[in-house]
Amino acid sequence: MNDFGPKMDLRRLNTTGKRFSYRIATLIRTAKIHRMDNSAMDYSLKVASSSANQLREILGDVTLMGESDTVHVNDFRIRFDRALLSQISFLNLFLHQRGIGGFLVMGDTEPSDWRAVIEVLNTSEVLQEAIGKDVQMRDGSAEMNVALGDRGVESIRLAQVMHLRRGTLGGQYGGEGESVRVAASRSLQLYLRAIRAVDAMQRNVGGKRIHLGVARIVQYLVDQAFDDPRQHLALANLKSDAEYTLRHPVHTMILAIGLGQRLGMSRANLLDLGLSVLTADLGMTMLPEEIREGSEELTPEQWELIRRHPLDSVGAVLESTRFDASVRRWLVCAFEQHMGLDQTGYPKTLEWSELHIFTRIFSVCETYDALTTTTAWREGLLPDEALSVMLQQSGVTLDPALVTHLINMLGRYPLGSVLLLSTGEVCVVFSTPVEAENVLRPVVKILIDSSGSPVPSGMIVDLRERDEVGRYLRNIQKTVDPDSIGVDLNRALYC
Amino acid sequence: MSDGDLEPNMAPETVDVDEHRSAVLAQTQVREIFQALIKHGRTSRLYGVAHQHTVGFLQSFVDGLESFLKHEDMLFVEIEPDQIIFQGKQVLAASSHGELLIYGLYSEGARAIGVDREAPRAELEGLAHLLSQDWSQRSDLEDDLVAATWRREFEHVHIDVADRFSEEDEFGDAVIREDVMLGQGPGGRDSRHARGDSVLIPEIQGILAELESNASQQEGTQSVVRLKQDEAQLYLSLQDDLKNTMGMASHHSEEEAELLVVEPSAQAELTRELKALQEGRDLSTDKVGLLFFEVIRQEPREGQVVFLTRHIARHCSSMCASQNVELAANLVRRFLLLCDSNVFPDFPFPGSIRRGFASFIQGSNRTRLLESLPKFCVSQEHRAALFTLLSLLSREQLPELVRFGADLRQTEIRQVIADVVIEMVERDEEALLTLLVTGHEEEAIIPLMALGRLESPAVIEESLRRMGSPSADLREACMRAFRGQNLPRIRQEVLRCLKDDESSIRIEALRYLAVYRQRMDLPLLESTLRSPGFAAYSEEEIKAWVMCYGLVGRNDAIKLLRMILEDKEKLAASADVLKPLCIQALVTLDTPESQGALELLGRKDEAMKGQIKRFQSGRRGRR
Repeated sequence: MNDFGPKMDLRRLNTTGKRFSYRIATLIRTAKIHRMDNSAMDYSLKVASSSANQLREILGDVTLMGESDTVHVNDFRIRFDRALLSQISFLNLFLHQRGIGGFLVMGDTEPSDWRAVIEVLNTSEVLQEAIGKDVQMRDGSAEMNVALGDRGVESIRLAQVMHLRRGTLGGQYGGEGESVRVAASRSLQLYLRAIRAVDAMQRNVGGKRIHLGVARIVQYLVDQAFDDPRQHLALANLKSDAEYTLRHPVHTMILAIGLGQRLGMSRANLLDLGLSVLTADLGMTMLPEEIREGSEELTPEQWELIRRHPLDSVGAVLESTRFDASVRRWLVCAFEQHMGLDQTGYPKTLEWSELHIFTRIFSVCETYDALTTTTAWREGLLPDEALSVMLQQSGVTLDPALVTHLINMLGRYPLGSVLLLSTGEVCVVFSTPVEAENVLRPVVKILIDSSGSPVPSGMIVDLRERDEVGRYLRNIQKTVDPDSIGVDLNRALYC
Repeated sequence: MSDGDLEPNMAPETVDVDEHRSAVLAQTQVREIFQALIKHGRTSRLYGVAHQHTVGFLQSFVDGLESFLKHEDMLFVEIEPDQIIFQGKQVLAASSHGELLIYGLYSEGARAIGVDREAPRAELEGLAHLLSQDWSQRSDLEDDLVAATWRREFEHVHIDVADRFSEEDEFGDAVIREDVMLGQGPGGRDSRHARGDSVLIPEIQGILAELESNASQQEGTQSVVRLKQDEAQLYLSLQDDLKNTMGMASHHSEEEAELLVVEPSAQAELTRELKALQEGRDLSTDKVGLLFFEVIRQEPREGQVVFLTRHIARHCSSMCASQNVELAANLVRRFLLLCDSNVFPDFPFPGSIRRGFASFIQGSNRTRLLESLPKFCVSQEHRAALFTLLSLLSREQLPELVRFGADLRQTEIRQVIADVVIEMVERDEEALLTLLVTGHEEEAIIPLMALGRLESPAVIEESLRRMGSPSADLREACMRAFRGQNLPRIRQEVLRCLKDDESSIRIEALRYLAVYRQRMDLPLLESTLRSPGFAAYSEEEIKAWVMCYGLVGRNDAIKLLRMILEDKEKLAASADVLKPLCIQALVTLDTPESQGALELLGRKDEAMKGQIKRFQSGRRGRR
């Protein structure tokens, strides 16, 4: 939690902190080439000084502490664009090698103050080459602060190295030094943006179904799959009664990107995969609503229309002005989506080679999401029940290798599964395991304690925990339908 | 470096001068790096990426960067609207040839570029390709700089970009601006977004609001679980379940926990596929062609068939424009089968396919093809592919195709169109003669070439009548049409054309003479070869003269060709150009005498022996 007041200030704080850190890094680099009084330094000194003063305006006294590729201004972590990370890593490495953790700004600063700081830093000796938690860090700040005092600088002091504190869960399950709440909020915003992007595609906004902005959202989701796989997969478990036609492609895409990432695909290929999934069902959106959303039994004529929707999806993709390798993959995925591994589905062809890998990933992920989602025409299955059904289809309509990889990704008890434990507690699977020894023992959040009372804020426990004689503290007894005991899965995963 | 170059605040001590020198040197180096980049971009746009100059400038850019990074940890430049800044100094101004580069990058949002010392050559080359792109020509759906940079997954190259789709959220993260994404923001085209932010998923929006207002941290927060009476009873029944199954739970402490194993051969196949995907070998155009075939074959709506083929035609034309004529043909090869009533007697819309595909030579597709075909449709295989593509047009498009052919300034491609026209009119000479008189003068080109290909006697008068036309293209087409006619009056016309002002017509005339090989033409040919004006001809025409001389003269030509090769006879044209042509002519003759001459020449000169072998193996390959 932070105490910075209105959002506007947070944005300003982040931008100013970013600008300050980047300028200090530039100054240190430039000082290696130029004399300190060279005009090449002037602009950066001015920006560094004004940024530091603006930070003081927002926060009062300012502490800027760096570690690895992160910088914290007081308690707030500055978010850097990927492009700037190397500059920030350089700055932190440079400071740490000299036994410095950051800067304390205690009054208004002038460019000349920062010139002195850079000069002192650049003339200081390297105290340690290796950086890391196991290295006993030497303190270089005291000596350098004396040098700063000698130069008449009163408003700035250098701080010694200290490791930044982590958030309650942030270090393990979220990003470093930030709370799960922040990561979850960001993730949900991304999810809603993906939903809106699919809405725009389906409605053919502006006469162009596939906007560059849609691709940008998929890029963000791909980045999330690499940076925070738990948050990524959690999005595919969000439950709602609304907007199935928007949520289904988004959930399928999230699962497909996650699966593709585990298979070792590059980011560029994952982008193509994500867009293949989103475009594959465009034909479905052209069908009348009573077919898409209705709960009645479909007539043979309506089935005929359903069977034709892959052809309409191909038509929609063909409207694209591009025809590169990516678009060709979208086309094939759109056409093959319901053919099935054994090619007993539709459309029927005169001759056809094996299905493209994107189509097979799509089928596996689409089936899982469809099976686990309750719609007007079908009651959703529990995650482990869905996986059982899929295992029966494995090798028939679904690629067996990919079904196996999906199960390994989701775990035997996928994220969002509600479990009854041997202690009588009821919990939700909060983090899916990735290691072999962990596959049956996920990290869970306790929802109901052993006395049957709801646990309002939940308690995160690792089912691998053992007692002093080596017995597991908790064992999984069975999976439970969350609806049957009034569990709000979304809140269980996010609040 | 003059004293005037020193910065005003520079003290005149030796060490400072050294520092200043190294700074100025670094700036000069960076300036040269960016100048090489500009040249690379310019030549790649003019001549393509494979051109030697493009490759050379790329090399200079990469070498320059590598040399710079030997002495520096990183190259870091800032991009402003009208200049590129390095260490606070301008290294490139928009006004000094940097306009396209700087404007392109700035308008795509690039604000700074950093390159680490560890950057491998492949990343530096990737950076050059990225920065050299003409971003002002990007279409709506192509990757922008952000996406293109993202795709490349650079590890040591950093481009700081102000993303037009995003602004920072309250956490300082870039977030997507839907209004811009959907074309509604500043400069956006569309204001018809029906729902925009009204897409409601209350459960999720509720949680988001709760997270953002930090409510979950406060006292009295809403519980995740709300047990109603019946649910509470169910929970109690769960507890009963638990008691009953407790005994069975003990096995969990010794559970066999492992990931499911994928069958090794299936995993190997998956790995192979992923590698193919990474290398872009995952999908053949043949498969996409089959997909198009199936989509059209199964489409029950005629309007949709026209709509789909129109889009396919557009993509085919853009593939032709990017040097992929054969791949484009692959996409539609099967359509010809669909249109063949012998193969698919029940397919109801062959005419619709042809009607939809008419857009291949219409509108912007036509313009694109007129520009690109002469450049990229060069080999026999390419021309065969073009024949396939054009064969999809219907007879209704005949006049349009004839006009298209007239506008295409390349005889070999015109001949393809003439061949397509022949098939379209089902070899009906009357139809071709009708076409001759219906259009503009130059629209006679394709029908004449078609009549010539059919060796129709009608072509003689029609072509002779047009030999006086001021249109060189038309005269050239007439010459081409004569090829099937070995008559004295045509030969006279051909000999007259050897003195035509247009090189292309002289070349066509020489090709005619080479077909009929009349020994009596040899003196005329030899006198031209020996004339001082011969040096002024293009290489293509010199080749036509030498080859024609060899083929017409047969063994009588060997002497002169051999003397040129032995430097005993000097012609006006450059020996470097002539000698390979003389060898080629001797190889093409392929008589015992020419083979003997080549053997003798090869014995005397090792280098020439190598050239002879190359031509001989090339000829064998063609056979």
